[in-house]
This record gives sequence, C-alpha cells and structure tokens, in this order.
Amino acid sequence: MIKRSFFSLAAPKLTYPILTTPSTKPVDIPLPERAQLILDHPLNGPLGIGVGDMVKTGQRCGDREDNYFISPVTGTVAAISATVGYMGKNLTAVSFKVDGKDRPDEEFRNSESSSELERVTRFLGYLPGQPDFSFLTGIRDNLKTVFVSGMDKDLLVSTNSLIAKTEFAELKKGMAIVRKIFEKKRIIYLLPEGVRPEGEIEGVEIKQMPAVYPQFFPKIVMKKILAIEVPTGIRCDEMGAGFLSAEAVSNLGKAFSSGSIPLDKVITVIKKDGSTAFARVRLGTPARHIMDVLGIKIAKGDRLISGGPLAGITLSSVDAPVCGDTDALMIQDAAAAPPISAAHCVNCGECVRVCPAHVPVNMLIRLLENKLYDEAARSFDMLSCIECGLCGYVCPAAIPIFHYVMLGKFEYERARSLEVQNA
Amino acid sequence: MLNEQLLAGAHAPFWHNGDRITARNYNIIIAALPAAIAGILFFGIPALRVLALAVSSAMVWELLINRLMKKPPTIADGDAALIGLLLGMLLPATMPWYAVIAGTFVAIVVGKMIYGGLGCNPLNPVLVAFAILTLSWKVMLDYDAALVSYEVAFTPLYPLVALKHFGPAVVGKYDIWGLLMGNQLGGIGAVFGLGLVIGGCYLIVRGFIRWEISLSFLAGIFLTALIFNLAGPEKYASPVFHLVTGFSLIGAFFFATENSSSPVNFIPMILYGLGGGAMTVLIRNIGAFPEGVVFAILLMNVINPLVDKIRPRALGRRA
Ligand code: SF4
Ligand code: SF4
Repeated sequence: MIKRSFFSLAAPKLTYPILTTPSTKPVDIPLPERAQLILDHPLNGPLGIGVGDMVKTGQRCGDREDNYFISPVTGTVAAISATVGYMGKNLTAVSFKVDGKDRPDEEFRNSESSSELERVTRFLGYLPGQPDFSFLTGIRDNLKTVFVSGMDKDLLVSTNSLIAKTEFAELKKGMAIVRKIFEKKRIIYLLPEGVRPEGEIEGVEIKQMPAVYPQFFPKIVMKKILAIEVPTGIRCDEMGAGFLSAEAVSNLGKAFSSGSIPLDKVITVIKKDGSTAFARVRLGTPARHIMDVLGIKIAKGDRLISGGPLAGITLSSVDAPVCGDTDALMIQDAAAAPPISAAHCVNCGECVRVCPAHVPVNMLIRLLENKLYDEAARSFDMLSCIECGLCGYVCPAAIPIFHYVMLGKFEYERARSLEVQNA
Repeated sequence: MLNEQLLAGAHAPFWHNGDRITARNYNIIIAALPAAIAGILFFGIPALRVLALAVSSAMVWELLINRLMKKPPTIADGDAALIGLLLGMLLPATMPWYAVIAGTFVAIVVGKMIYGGLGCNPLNPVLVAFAILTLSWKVMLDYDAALVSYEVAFTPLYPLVALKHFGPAVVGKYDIWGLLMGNQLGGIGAVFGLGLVIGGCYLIVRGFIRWEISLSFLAGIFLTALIFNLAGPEKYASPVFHLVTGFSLIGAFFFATENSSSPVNFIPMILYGLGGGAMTVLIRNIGAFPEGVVFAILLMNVINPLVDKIRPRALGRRA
C-alpha cells in the first residue's frame, strides 16, 4: 500500500507500475470443473438455450441478433439463474458443467466469407478484454477516433501492459482489423511515457501519457489528447471516441488469424503482500480454482476484489467467475483493510485537491450524507466524477467518500428513470 | 469449506494513504510546543498553570458534552486538547483559573460542540472564546496590566498597545530579532515568534496546514502595513514590526489555517489569507483595538463559505 510521504507538501503521485521485464509469463490455469458466464442483462426471457443443453467451445448461443453469448467451454448447461452485480444491478448467470476436453465450434471459422464487420458484430462482442463494440453499430459514423489502450486503469494491474509488451504481432494484426472496420478513422495507440512498441504499426498513431494515476481513464485521455471535454451524462463514444483495450485488440487479431474465437483471459493476480503474478484462464473460471492452482489461500474475513486497489469491486463469493473485463483479482488480508469511519468531514480539502475532475468533494459529501442527490448533481458536480477513488484514498477522516458518490449517482439515475416512467 | 459469508464486502478504494485526523491534531500540538514551552520558561509556573488548566478543562468539557449527548467520547482525537492548548497560548500567564475554564467552555461548547463537533464549526472555536473573553474581561487580557509584576530586561510594554498610544517612535525601541526571540509581553504562546515560525514550517512541510493560507495571511499583513507605513511613517509602524508582534505569527500558522472555518480551493485560500492579513492591520491601525488578528480571522471565517465558492469548473460541467 502506498502511504503518504513524511514530507507531503509536494504531494507524491501514485504511479502505475511499468513492466520492464517481459519475462513474466502468465501461468496457464487448467480448465475448471465448472464455469459460469455473467450476462449483462436481467433474466427476463429465453436465452435460446436451456439447462441440460450441450455446448461446444466457442459456440454462439442465443436467439437474437444483438443478444448472444459465446460458450467458453465444452460441456452442458447446468443452471441459468438471476444474479445481482455491483449496486444491485440485475444480471443473468449461466453455469456450465465442463467436459475435460475442448471440442471447438466451427461456426465462426465457417463465416469467413462474411465481411470483417459482420463477423465482429456477430461473434466477437465478448472477447476477453471486453471490447465495447457497441460504438461499431449504432453511432459508427459519428466516431472519429478509436483509442487502443496499452495500459490498465487501476494501479498494480498490468494485464494490458503485459499484452502490449508480449503480444505485439497479434496486436498489430488486431489493429489492422480495427482499421478495416473503422475506415478513415483516427486510431491512437496509448502507452505510458517511456514505453515504445516493438515496431511501426501502419496507420496507427502512438500517444504517450504520464504513468500517473488516473491518467488512463477515458475522460482524462480525451481531454489531454483530443482536447475534448466530455459533458456530464454523456458517454465518450457519443463525443466521437471509442476505447478498446490492448487485450481485446490482440484477441481480435488472434480470432482472424486462427479462425477460432479466443476465450482465454489474462489476469493480474495481486497477492496479499502486494506482489503480482499473471495467469491465463478460460473465461468463466471461478476465482477459487485459480487461487487453488496458484497456491494462494483465502482466509475468513479476507477480501476478494475484481480489479485494483483504488477502483476495484469486492466479490461476494470465491466462486465468482472471471469475466471478459476481469483484468485483475486482488486478495486483501482482513488486517490490511483500511478503516472506515462515521466521522464528520473536517473540511481539510485533501479530497478536493486530489480530485482529477475538480469535484468539490468536501461540499458534495455533506449533501450525500443527507441524501440530497438532486442538489448534489445540480450544484456540486456529482456527475463529473470519473470514479477513480482517490478522494477516499486521501481522506484523513476515513469517510467512505467514493462509496457515497457511487451510491449518489446510482440513486440519482434511479430517481430519473422513475420520473421518465411516470411521465 | 469456504462459503460466501466468509468474504468481507466493502467499497473501493481498498488502499488508504494513512493520513488520520488524530495524527494531524497531535502533530499540530507538537508544532505548537516550542512556542508554548518558551512561554513557560519566560513567564514561569503561572504560565504552566494556565496551559495545563486550559488543556485539561477543554478535554473535560468535551467529555461532558459527549456524555450529555450520549455519544461516544471524542477526546482521543486530540482536538479538544489542541483547542485548550491554543487558547491557553493566547492568554496572559496571570489569567485567573475561572476565566480559563470559562474560556475553554466557550471554545468547546459554543465554538464547536453545538454545531455537531469536529469539522462542523463555522468559526474558529479558540478565537470565538478569545473574543468573548476580550469583551467580558477586558482588564484580564490587558497584557500590560496583567503582566505588570514581571521584571524584564526589555521595554515592558505590549508592543501593539505601545504602538497605539505612543506611535512608531516608541516602538522603534524594540528590535525585530528581540521580538522574534520573545522579548515582548503578550500571550503565553504568542511571544516566541521564532518558535511559531518553526512549528508552522513543520506543519506546512508535512502538509498538515495549507501553506497558501499562512503565507497569504502574512503577505496581507505585510502589504497593508507597508501601504500605511509609506503613507505616514511617523504615524504607522513598519510592516516587519506588524509581522512579529501580537498574534500575527500564531494567527498565520495556527488559527487562520483551522480546517473547518477556512477555504480549500486555491484562489479562495489566497483571498482569505490576504483579506485576514489586511483586516488585521486595518483594525490595528485605525480600529478601536490594539490587536486585530482575532477579529480579522473571525470575520474571514464568516465570509469563508462565500469565498470558497470560487472554484475550478468541474470536468464536463456545462456552463
Ligand atoms: S472518485 Fe472522488 S476523486 Fe475520483 S473523480 Fe470521483 S469525486 Fe473525484
Ligand atoms: S478529505 Fe475527508 S475530511 Fe478532508 S475535506 Fe475531504 S471529505 Fe472532508
């Protein structure tokens, strides 16, 4: 854990780790006995597949054009159930009983005669690295720039840096596909300062950002590199920029060169002592299986976190699966958990000065404590928050500010959607 | 076997930089010690008595209020002790015990706890108490009358009163270094200027107070005093004299910087500091009181919420 330095006048920056040795090879985790996919929508209708159905590795399941999933394993569907995610979001969980051996599905390979765009939209929306291809279909014409980020968002997470370092050939192929799909768009490969790719990539600009948290958050990137400030309540793609992770682009390259859909996710495992390791796992693998293979013990009261130390999300079960966007699994010892207090804000202003979005956090927290979400959004810039967690990291009163802000945003959106429904 | 209940849920961030209110308060107490100890050496046992009584009674008041409101005790956070210490440092060593206790009562109860405790006070609690003591027991806080029995090797006058009554010609007798080293009458912890500067620098370097406020407060005093001094050198003292006398230094490093009653944004901090400094000199030079720091900072506390509205535009905010 990075602590405040003794001489704090010149505030130390939280810097991202930069991989200097590419020798860190991910450990290959064998297939688990059970796998689970979490689908990003509530369970409200048939999925085009049922319990007991057989599936093959890479099989496209689902009956609707835009609503499908790719089976990560060969086996049978063991259960389909409703589940909840972060902030009570309703999701669908599909569990598989895994056969020992992969039998690949051939539908993607046989679609070679279709255009790249068709193949990508039909099969590759759930690649490991969670590419957001939504901007491919809807507002594609509006899009001016596509960023490929060779850096991870949170500290200690190095999944995308590793890919940028070790999978240059695949990345290059993936970028070529991206260029084909996004004809005439500007494509920017983002890297931390001091890091250069192995070679030239045709038609791709390279831009470097300081390796300081949270420089690699999309809205900061847009402001720094494109000089575009994304208004609150608007997504980056609506302002003309799409973001893809290096891992997703590398997997795009692999998909087209191998003819099969990549289903292995690279994750950074952050251990209790803060050291990290890499693992290559099949999508849907339960965290417990990975920890067992790596010999990491999880004890009562520990935290299992998807993501990094500043903006990750705790998982409620050791059986939680690796999803397309699980870039890291962090295990935190019960004793290392920072205290939270119900104390009042003392108005020291640390949060205000650290906030990259200039949110007046010291004022905002007073409204949020009193559940005045509307006012918080209107007059105190709650919606400008880019969700970096720095405010909570520095607060000497140990107020869970970041939690308050996220809750505030959630309640605000909910009240607004209710208003729309009732109107 | 592990099951779901075994894992602990929480919200990010899962790291904290280790900064704590309690540690901040204890560090401010430590930073105040050089000046406080110098005061004890200088004014003797009576000074120690006032400081000890102020610290302990402040803590007792806070504990009593905690009990009364059926809240868990908060004195371990060091804030009550700090308030007591700082109030004691402003008082003359001859302050009677009941006035000290009344002072800490006002500071803790009226200045802080009725607003909800630490962090909720709109005004600096110590200065509220000192202002009320000034208005109720004027004579006790007349440093010349109070400290008349002290045998000293320098002009035994409270410099700012001397200035008010006799003009800059008399105060020319004070040498600046001597004033900084504590050769002046005044509050127990306010006379040893060098100690206050050292303590203040320590707090600034460690990031426990906001340098913007301290420096702009001193700049405000200096610039305003300079203007007066240039306009009428025979009537108004030099800016440096203003910086090293009265509560200028203790105000700049220990009072203007109190978290809850001061701004957090850059431009507001500068305005707040400059305004406080300027008001101080205005009160001293043309107001009714010889010392202006207390009322100047209280005034700035009042307008702080307005000043602190000047802040950078948040990311993506539509004008
Ligand atoms: S999480 Fe906190 S520090 Fe980060 S952008 Fe939001 S309010 Fe600012
Ligand atoms: S860091 Fe915490 S105590 Fe300081 S102003 Fe922000 S919320 Fe208040």
